Amino acid sequence: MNKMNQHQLLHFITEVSFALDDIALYMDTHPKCPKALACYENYKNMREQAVKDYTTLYGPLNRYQVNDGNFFDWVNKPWPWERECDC
Amino acid sequence: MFIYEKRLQFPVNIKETNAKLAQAIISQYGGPDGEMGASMRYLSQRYSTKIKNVQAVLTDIGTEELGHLEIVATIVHQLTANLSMEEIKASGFDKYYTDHTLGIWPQAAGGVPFNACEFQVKGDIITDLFEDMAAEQKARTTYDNLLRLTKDHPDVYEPIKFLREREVVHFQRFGEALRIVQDNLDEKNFYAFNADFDTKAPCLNNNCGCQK
Repeated sequence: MNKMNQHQLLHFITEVSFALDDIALYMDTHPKCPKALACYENYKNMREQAVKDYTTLYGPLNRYQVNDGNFFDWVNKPWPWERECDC
Repeated sequence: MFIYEKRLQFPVNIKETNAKLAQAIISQYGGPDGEMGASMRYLSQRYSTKIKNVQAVLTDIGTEELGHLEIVATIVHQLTANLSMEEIKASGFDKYYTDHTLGIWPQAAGGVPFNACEFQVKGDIITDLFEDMAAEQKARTTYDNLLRLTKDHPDVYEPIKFLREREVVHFQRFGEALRIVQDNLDEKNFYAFNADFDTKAPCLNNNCGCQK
């Protein structure tokens, strides 16, 4: 299982997700670029694993990952706009 | 369909309370070149082109702008959390506070409410893409102005620097989308009339008898 703490793992997911956001825009206007596609695949796999680990360890990031065991986390874990020092 | 992901596109964690900065930054929530106008502009413009690359660009950039809207709201929310009545009065936040307390409402820095007339959907993709490129530049200028105001506040400066950079990238992608549209025009369509509305270019020769 992932060795990063919650803060580090979310930071990692933010980084790889941003890479995907940026490459996706590039691919919209360059759909035949094999280098971009390979790059997208690579970050996509990294993100999938990280999100899976995060969901198991710290709760769901989207509603499709919500189940009997973690619904409480979806509602009660901090929302992204909250200050870390608010709790 | 849109799905919410419980994270920000760029992290925001502001420790200070500063209602003066919040009043300036809220312009990128509901002001003339803000993220609400940006997201509504691109997501609404998608329906009037048949060119797949352009539909994709408008969808993906429009979606990212919704994420930026959330980042701007978060900055304003964190800057105004725990404001005291003394700070509200001293910072000039009292006017906003009267109508919205500490809630987030789309308005410009000068208090003008958000208005759909801040963007256009012309139903002509060339016209729309020129607007989109101008919109990205106007938003970039606004973020440059905000960067000058926030340079001594690193927690605020960093997410604004990120948002500014995205305007530059989006401008580039819209420029490529415009090139793709123009490359796909009929060769007779020299004046770039609305390719999705008018099916054929009008014939410029009055004497040829083709009736076009």
